[in-house]
Amino acid sequence: MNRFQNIDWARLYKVLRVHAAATLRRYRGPDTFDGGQDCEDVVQEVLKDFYRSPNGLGWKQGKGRLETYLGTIVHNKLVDRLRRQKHVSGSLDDPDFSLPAENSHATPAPERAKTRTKDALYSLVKGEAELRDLITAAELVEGGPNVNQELGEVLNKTPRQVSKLKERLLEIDGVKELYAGRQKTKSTRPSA
Amino acid sequence: MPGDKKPNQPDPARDVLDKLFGTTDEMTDEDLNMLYEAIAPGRDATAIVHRLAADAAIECRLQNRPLPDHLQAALDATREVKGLDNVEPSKLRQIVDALTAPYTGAVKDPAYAYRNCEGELDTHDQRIVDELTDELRKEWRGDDGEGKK
Repeated sequence: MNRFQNIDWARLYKVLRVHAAATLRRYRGPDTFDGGQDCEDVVQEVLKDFYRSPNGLGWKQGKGRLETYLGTIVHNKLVDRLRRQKHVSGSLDDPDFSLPAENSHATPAPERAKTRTKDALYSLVKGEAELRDLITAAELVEGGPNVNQELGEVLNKTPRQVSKLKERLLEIDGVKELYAGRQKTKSTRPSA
Repeated sequence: MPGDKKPNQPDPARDVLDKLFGTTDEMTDEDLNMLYEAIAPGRDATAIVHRLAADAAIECRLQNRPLPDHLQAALDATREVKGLDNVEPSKLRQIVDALTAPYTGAVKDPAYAYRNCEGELDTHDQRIVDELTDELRKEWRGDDGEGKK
């Protein structure tokens, strides 16, 4: 048996896909870049490069989990694409980075992005008190591996009830798009 | 190197959505599946992985290169199962687990809803479950012998 036989490949793909969406949201990148590619294309490109590579892009167990290793490559590729697209100037990793049109704001860009995400979430859930409470509770926790339990303690709910609340939140129009950093109307690719 | 973290490179700011769902390396399977389904609805991750691996395998064969271990492992693990002959025990175990996992969704008959009960079963609940079990057992035994224990 080799070291790759216990890997859940479908889970790995899902992790990379969700990771890419979250990266795009944090950098507020466009839905598509590089002539119509999107973050799903970047994930697939990285995974294919990994499969093609005789040494699996240099991954060894000593270098940590495969999903973290490939996740970093996905992150770097996405940042590289965004830079090439010139949607932002300077280093995307710089805490003071900002979109060119927003340079006049006094608050650092990551702080503005965080506030924007929070405000957008609150406005999407509108009068749903339970979901508003969930968002408020999320601000109070660290969001580690036991996040449902942490949230449950704040909200006085079981982890499963918290999970159901999250499911409800994702069903609200616009929340999925917000998570993925997408525009609400998904852009279509130009035909070849 | 991808795995290394530079000390002077700050993490991108964790926003409320990161805190709510966790980052991907600390996310539960349940949250991961929920998010994946939300951002890529109807996209079969196993089929996508298999297609990517199959494409890479074709390239390797065209270049007369042996398939790397990780590529072979991905192809084997994501191959569509069309029959149970020659299926590895681990795959069979996955199928059995999927079939025998308890159903946690809504049920039409409240008698079966105790699995979704948030608290402990109290004696009253237990009595109802026992009565229903007895009733089912009687009907089962009366069923022309086929279901007899």
